Amino acid sequence: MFEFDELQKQLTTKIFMLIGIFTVVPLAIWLAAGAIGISPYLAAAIVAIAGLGAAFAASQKLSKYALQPTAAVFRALGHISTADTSNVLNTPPSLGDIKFARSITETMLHDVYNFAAGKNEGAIQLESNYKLLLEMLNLSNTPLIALDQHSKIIFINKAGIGLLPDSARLNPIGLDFFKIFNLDHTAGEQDIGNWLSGCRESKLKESQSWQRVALKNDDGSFYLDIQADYNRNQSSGVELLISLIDKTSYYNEQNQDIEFISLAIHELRGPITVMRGFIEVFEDEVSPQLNEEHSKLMLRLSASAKQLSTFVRNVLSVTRTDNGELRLHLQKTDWNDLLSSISKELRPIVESRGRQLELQLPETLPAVSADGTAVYEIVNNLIDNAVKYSPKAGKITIKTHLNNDGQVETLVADEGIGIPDSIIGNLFDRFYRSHRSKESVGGTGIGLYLCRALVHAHGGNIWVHSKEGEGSTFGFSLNQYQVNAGTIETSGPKLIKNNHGWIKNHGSVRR
Amino acid sequence: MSKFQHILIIEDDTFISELYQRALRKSGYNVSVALGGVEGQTMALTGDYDLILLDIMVPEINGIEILKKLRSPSVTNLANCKIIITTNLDQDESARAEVEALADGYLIKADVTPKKLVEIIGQMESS
Repeated sequence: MFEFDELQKQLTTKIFMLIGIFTVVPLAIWLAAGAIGISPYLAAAIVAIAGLGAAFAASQKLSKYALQPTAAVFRALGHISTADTSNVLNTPPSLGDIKFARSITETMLHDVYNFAAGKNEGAIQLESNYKLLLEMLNLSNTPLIALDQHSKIIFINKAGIGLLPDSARLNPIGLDFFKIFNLDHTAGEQDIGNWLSGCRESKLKESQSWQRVALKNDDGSFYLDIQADYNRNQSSGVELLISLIDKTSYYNEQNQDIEFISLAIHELRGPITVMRGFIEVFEDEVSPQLNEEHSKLMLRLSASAKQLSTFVRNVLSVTRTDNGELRLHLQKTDWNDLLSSISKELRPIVESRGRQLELQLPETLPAVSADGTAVYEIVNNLIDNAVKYSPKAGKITIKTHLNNDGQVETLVADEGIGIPDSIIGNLFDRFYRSHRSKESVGGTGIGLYLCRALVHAHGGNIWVHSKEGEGSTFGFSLNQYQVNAGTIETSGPKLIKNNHGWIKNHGSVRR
Repeated sequence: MSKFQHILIIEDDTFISELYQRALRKSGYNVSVALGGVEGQTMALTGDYDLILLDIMVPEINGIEILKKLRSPSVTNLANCKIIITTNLDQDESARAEVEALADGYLIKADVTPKKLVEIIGQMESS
C-alpha cells in the first residue's frame, strides 16, 4: 500500500531544507567574512565554492531520493512491457543506495517484479496450452476449418487437410474454401455458400448444419455432415468455423438400403405392369360386351391397379427423401398444360371412387420451374387424400392462380369432413395418421409427408386450411420459371416429364 | 418425323413383351422381339428399325451398355432410330446424364399401359 500523503510531506520537508541550506549558508559566510575583515572578493569566492558544494550535495540527495527510485521503477516496468523483448527478467537491484521513500519503492519494485515473474510463467503456460490445443485439433478425426471474411482458409487441422485435393495439401492457408471443396448438397437445401452470403448481409452470429453432403476429391467420394458457425467481426479474424463429419460408411449403408428397396420395387412393378396391361386389354376388347355392373367393376379393378402403382412409387420417393437422395430436375413448365394432363390421368380414378373432379384454370399463367414427375406425385397425393375424406358424390376442385408474392399457387379443395385444429400441425409429419382415420380410412401416412418434401425441394411452400365439417383446402406455391431460370439446365433437348418418365422433345415447338 | 415402320422390343419378360407386341401390332406397326440382351443387340445392329424399346434389366448385358453400343459413332444403321428405355427400375442418378444424352425417352413400365405407350410413340412421330 503506497502512502502518498506521507511521501508528499517528506518531499516538502526535504525541499525546504535544501532551499534553507542554499540561502542560510552563503548569507552566514558573507556576514562572517564582513565581520572578520576578509576582502569582499575572497568572500564572494568562498560563497561561490560553498554554493557549488551545496548544489552538489543537493543533486546527490535529489538523485538518491527521487531519480534513482524512479529509474528503478521504470527499469522494473520494462520487464513486463511487451515493447522491450530484450529485457530479461532477473532479481531486483540492491536498494541500499536508494534512501528516500525506500520502503514505498521497495514494495513497489517487489510488486512489479513479482507481477513480471507471474506474467512470464503465464506466457509459458499460454504457449504450452496453445501447443496442447493444436495437438488436440490435429489428433481429432473431425476436419475443422476456419475461414476469414473473404472465405479464405486461415486454419485447417490435419483431418481437414486429408479432405483437400492433392494440389492444395502442401499450403492450404489462404486458399478459397469454396474453390477447393466441391460440395454437392441435397436437392432443395440452401448450400453453405448461399447461407454464408445471407449471414454476411444480415447476421452477427448464426449456426447451421447440413446432412449427407457429398464431396468428391482425389481419394474418392465422401458423405459429410457439416456444422458451420458464423461470427461477424471476431478479433481473431475467424468469420466461419466449419466442422465436417465424415459419415461415408453410414450413408453408404443407407444407400444399400435404397438399392434393396429399388430392386424390391422393380420386382413389384413387373406384375403390376402385366396386370395393368391386361386390364386395359379387357377394358378395350371385352367391356363392350359387359353389363353396366361388370363395367363398373372393371373400372374399379383398373383404378386399383393404378393406385397400387402410385403407392409403390410413393414408397420409393419416401425412401429417397429420408435418405436425402431426392433429386429434382426442374424445367420450364407450362402449368396449365401440366395440371390438365394430370387431371386427365386422375379423373377416371376419382370418378370410379364416386367423387367429382373439377379443374379451374386461369387463361394465362407465367411458366413455372417444376419437375413434372414430382408435381404429378404432389397432386395425386392431395387428390387421393381429398377422395378419402370426402362424402360420396363430393366435389374436389383444383384451382390455380398467381399469388401476391409472384408465385404460382395451386389449391386442392374438398367438401369433406375437415381437420380438427388439434391435429392440423402434425399433418405433414412422416407416418402421421389421425386416430379417426386409422379406424376408418386406409393409408400409410406418407402422402402428405412426401408432398411437403417434394414442394420444399422445388423451393415452394405447402399449407392447409380446414374447418371441421366444411372441408379442407391444401395449397402449394411454386416459383415462376423466371425466378430461378439461371439455375435450370437448359442445354440439350427439353425432356417432357410426366408421371411415367420422360420423352425427349426433338421438335422446336411444343405441342 | 413420319410414322415408324419397324419397332424392336428388347424385353425379357414374356408377358410384357406380348402386351407391347399386341398393342403395337394393333396400331399397325411391324414389331420384332428379342428376349435377351445379346440377341437384342445383334438384331439392333443388323436390322432396320425406326424405334427400339430397350429394357435396362435384360439378362446377359446391362441395357445401358447396349444403349452405349447402339449409340456409338461406328453404328450407322441406327442414326435415325429412336431408342426409348422401358424399365421398372427408377432412374439411377449416376447413369442419369448418360441416359439423357443417349436415349430419346425413359418410361416406367408399371406407369405406362400399352395404350399410353402407343400414344407416346404417336407423339414422337409427330414431333
